[in-house]
Amino acid sequence: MNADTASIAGRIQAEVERALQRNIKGLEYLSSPGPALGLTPRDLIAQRGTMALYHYRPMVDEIYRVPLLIVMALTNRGYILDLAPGQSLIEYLLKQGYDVFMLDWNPPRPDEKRLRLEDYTLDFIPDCVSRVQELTGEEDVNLVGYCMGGLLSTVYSALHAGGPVKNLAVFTTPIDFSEMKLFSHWSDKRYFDVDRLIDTAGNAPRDMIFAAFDLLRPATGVAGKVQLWDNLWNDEYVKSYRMVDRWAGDILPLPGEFFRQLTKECMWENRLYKNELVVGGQRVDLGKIKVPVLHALAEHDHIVPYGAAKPLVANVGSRDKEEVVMKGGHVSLVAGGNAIKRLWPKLDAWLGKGSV
Amino acid sequence: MPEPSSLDPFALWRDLVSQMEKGANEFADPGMKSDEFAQVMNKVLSASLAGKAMKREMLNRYFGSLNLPTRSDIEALGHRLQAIEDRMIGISATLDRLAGVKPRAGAGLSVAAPSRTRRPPPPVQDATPAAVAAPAAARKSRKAR
Repeated sequence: MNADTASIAGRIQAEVERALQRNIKGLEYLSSPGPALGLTPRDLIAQRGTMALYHYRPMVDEIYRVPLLIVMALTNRGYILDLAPGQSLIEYLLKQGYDVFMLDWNPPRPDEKRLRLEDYTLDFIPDCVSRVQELTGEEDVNLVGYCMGGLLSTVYSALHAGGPVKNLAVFTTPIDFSEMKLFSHWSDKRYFDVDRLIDTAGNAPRDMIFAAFDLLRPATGVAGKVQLWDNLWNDEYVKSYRMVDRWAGDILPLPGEFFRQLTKECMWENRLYKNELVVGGQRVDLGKIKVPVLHALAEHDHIVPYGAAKPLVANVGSRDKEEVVMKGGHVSLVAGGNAIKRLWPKLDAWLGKGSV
Repeated sequence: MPEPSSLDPFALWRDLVSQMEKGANEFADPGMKSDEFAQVMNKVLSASLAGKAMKREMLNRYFGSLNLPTRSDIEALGHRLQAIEDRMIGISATLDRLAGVKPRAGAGLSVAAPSRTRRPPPPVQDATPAAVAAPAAARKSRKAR
């Protein structure tokens, strides 16, 4: 028997064992609830409709002076940053000595369809920043935003250039919407009647948003299921798959007026990129942001491609600014093994010196 | 477990799945960028919206004739409950503040509020962890300090 034949025999044996395991674990998969997520101890500090401000309980006896407020994306749940012990950015930051707050979002109620960018950047975020200041007794606050949460944090920082943000770190934040090719094309004003959508539906429906994200990579869902079946014998793979799959399906609707504003002013007119976006009567001038800025991007981000995110660091007025492009995609940038090795230590190293 | 060899049919199959996913995504991309796709997609959306609006109107009339609450009536009740809950959270937070409750330490640590005196560890002389783990990322880092 030569080496190749022995190897094939070994592989067949392993595959038979895996097939048996698949049958056993497949039943477990179908009959068990999904893993619990977002378990890091926290307290709800404030809630107003869609807005929910949480404070994570410190895990060390000595923490950095400057509290950290994380602003989550409007379409997704914040537990992507707190999947499970050992796979949680929140837990990592707490153990590194940060005092962590999160501005997370509940699904907007039908009466919250009127919420606009103004409500987020001139009311919700300032309200949360004030509460963080009051609770911690610190004037300075560091701000971290993910995806659309990064956009909100950026707009807020530009509109509150006098403070109290001390450092701004954002991940995969779109600025030039013309570079989001598929989204931009699908919302082409010649075909997409956003007024009719919002006037009829109130809020932008979660199913539509989910379908739009899913269509960006139409084959990935099916391939993911095939890979899951192939790896059903592997508990760690299944656990990771279920965590991310649950999060990816847990999409939130967007407030109708915010979606209308985003479509018309950002997708159609690209006003943020052109420094022409007006929020609450004030022009959003990225050049007014003078605090240190870190922008972390994913090399293979299919939701916010590099071209869409690139202008942020180029346009902010900070002298201390850094853009870092890391391996991975839109989600694996912040969660999973890739993030643990790359983004988390980078964020800690950057934030640490600005948190004293 | 034996390492996969070049003749391993299972490894080849897994590679094929991966290639098919990549190929299908790449194949679909130009189609989805076409005007026709955008038109069809938005026509489907319009039809769906029209259907939903008509269904909602019919159901509202039906429930009204039976003197039953409609979805919007239930939602209005939900809003009232939510508003009460929001107020209670606000009152609770205010009471906590008045009572001088500070951020609590994690399990197993002292209950006293942690001191805000932490300083970052001194920089390591060799490469940062991010650069070690991702040389490509480090190469692409654009720094303007």
